[in-house]
Amino acid sequence: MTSGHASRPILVLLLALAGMGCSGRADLPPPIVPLSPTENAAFRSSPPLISPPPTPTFPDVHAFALENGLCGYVVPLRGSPIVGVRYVTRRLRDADVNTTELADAAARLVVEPRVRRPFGLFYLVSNAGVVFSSDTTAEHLAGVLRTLRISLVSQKFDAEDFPGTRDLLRRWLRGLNTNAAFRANAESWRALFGPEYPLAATADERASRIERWTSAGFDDAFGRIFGPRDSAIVIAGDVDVDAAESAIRKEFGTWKDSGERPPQEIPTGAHRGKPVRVFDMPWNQVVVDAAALAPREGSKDQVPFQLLSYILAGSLDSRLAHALRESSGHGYTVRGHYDAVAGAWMFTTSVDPFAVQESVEALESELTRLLRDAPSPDELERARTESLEGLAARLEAPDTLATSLAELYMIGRGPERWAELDRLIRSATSADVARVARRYFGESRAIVTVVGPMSTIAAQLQWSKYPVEYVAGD
Amino acid sequence: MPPSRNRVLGVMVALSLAGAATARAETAAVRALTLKNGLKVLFEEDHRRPRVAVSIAYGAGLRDEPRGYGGLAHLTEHLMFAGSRNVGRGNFLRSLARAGATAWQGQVDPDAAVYYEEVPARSLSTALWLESDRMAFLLDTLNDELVDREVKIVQNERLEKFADSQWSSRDAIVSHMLFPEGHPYHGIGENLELDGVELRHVQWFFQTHYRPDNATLAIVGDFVPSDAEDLVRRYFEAVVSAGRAAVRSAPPVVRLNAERSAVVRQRVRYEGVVFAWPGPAESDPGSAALDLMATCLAGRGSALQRALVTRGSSALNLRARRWTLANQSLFVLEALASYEVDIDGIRRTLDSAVAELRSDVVKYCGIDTVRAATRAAFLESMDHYAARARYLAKTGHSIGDRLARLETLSTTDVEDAARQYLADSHRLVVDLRWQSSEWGTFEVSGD
Repeated sequence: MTSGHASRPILVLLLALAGMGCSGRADLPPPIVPLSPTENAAFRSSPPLISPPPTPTFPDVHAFALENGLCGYVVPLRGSPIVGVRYVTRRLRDADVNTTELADAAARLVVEPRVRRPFGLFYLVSNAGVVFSSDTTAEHLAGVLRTLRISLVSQKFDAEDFPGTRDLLRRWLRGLNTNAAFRANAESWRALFGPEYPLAATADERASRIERWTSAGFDDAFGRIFGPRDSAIVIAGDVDVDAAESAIRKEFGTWKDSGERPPQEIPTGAHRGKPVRVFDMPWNQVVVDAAALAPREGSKDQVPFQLLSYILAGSLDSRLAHALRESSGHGYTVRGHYDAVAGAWMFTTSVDPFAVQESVEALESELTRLLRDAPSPDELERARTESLEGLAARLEAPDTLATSLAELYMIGRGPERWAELDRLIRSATSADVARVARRYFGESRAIVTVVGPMSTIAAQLQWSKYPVEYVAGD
Repeated sequence: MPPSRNRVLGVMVALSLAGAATARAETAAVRALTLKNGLKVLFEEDHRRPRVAVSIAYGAGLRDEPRGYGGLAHLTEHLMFAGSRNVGRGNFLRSLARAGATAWQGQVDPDAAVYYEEVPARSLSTALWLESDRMAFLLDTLNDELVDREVKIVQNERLEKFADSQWSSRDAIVSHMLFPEGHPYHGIGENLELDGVELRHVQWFFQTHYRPDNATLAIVGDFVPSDAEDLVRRYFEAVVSAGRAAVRSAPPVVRLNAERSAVVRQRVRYEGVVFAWPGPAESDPGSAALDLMATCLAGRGSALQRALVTRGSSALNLRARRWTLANQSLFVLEALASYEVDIDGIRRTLDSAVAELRSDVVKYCGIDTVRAATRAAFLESMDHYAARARYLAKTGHSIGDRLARLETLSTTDVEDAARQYLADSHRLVVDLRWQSSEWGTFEVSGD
């Protein structure tokens, strides 16, 4: 199977290069026996005792609201040279696809400066909102706030930057049009939430929409996407709380909401088509994705599902990592992700083109086993420890703490949610996890999306026991 | 020149926002120890968070792969997670998860294989138990089946990383072009030659390079120094290696006397241009100057970013970086072209930007802002213990050394470095171009 790799185009250059300098293989001496001459002392035979995760120290959050509706959170973390700053808006939650893409362009304009700055500013657009982030040394805090004010409140941009940004996004998407991983992800979202869902658009569909943007439309959208209502500023680090609040009030206190929020319609998830769908695209590997509806943030199923997601595909020791990588070598990246904002579980791997049948069978088999075999006590405890330690660690450093607060704000929660999550994670039982497994992976099975060279895939899946739908290339 | 009023106000605002605590932990003292078996140990205390990071760097990099065994260092790095004699096969990651690890990784670069994990402070002994057991007893659990399977995973990793663009292979192309045949860095990482690699090859590589006298252990975070040293001695002092270590000499330093260029034609999605200049070692003040110039050329808000990316939209991505090797570095400036954009214009823009920088680096860059940006970005990247432990194990130095080099750099140092290292006659230029055939070509010109 592995010799097939040599004929694939992606390695041709490497082989061409190899031919220029490499000649043959050196003879290596045999290994020395005994292989491991270290004396195996008795204390090595068992792992050191580990106490269970203690309840974390929840940070002291100073929260306030400005008259224009903007929320402020300041969290003092003494001794850190780094300050985490976030502007977060949840005004995109369930917005239409065009607004989400305009937000991407608008955010790019905000972070790309006209003059050099001594700090970095980054953005993330999701299906819930936009977050701007800067993690920098404390002396630049005032500069970060001022930059956000100038960009968001004053909307000062170079008019010539809009066409450049639009063109850049369009070109980037056109290039992604033949990216199998991107296509598989979009098809998974489409299967769950329909073609109008923002993340369901193919690269070509998105690029075509962007080509129709105008400057006037962009200016109008900017005011709707960013504003003080449904937005917050977060500062975490070694700062003076009162001075930080004053700085937020000074920079953002005069900000007026200039537009209506984008439409808010929560999409209803619905599985469409057959459980296994195949899309034709030339690629070096075959992308195998899976997707399922999952509980939304706030549901009583959320924490048990989070633990289930970890057990299923949350680490290289997960059930799917064992099935698709550790015991078979089919793939390298084997990754699952639970998105509680969207209410979706997404999984992706890229496998050897000649291992598609085995990979799909292994994936389906593990999803079926999930309904039969409740998590073992050890699986549950590892998932619980990972969740608790992950939560605790996020509250300790300025960057992760600022991000955690911004994420909570985006889903309509505040810092009290940390203690709630800690309690829910500690109290979740194996029966809880088994119940959500049946609910979300039971009757409505996960949808599997396969993207790669159709002829190679079809030759293998013709014997599949699962109904397969073949979708022709664009 | 006196500071402007705005600048004074800016400083006042920044000071008033800063917290009451004045001693921010940017750097801390590093304590060193060498065990009888040759293992170097570095401790850096930091009690801001109840966590500790452990990292080990082995002199087992890509340059240590014998001829015809490309990928053997990477394969061995994968197998280090297989589980050793006392940990048990398949139990390494499981044990880390039980210990509450929030970060772990293994990475191979040209000079070293570096491993790290960040765990709650109460789990330091578990991290040391795991690391010492795989240093001493990894080979007891490996077998042919495991090696064959891991070979497939490494091959799939290569396919996945190169799937979207040949761009991923640019470091291999640069090292192939810059370093002469027979040099340890020649074509580093370009060949994956794992077909036919067997368990005995992994055993040889491990016994030769994964030895206490060829490794540095770093511990960073919340620990009691005497307890940590006791644990290190308990778990590592008795580790002995089979046989003798391979002789590992520093690779010869390479400079170019004339411009060298190559055109690589391949079925790539995005075309690109890469400039590379041989530079000084990490400890040389010139390396800090090159870090400033990397920020100056490709940092956010730079003239080049605006010309090529923000406004020009001809490049999707522009990067400048210093690629650190054992006793020299490479300064790399690279632009990834937008879809359907010809790279000739991009190359000309890069050319004129570098020429402008070279002629008056102080004016072109604005040294104070660039220095502040470089410093802030470096501190941010080193704020988490795992990153600091990895840096400490790999370089043997505290981040304070690098910060000090940055702080003490004079404008004359920067001007000298620009002239000395970024001359056209000392550079490599690689054009990465699209062609429909799946068979790649490689055209070389220059000295």
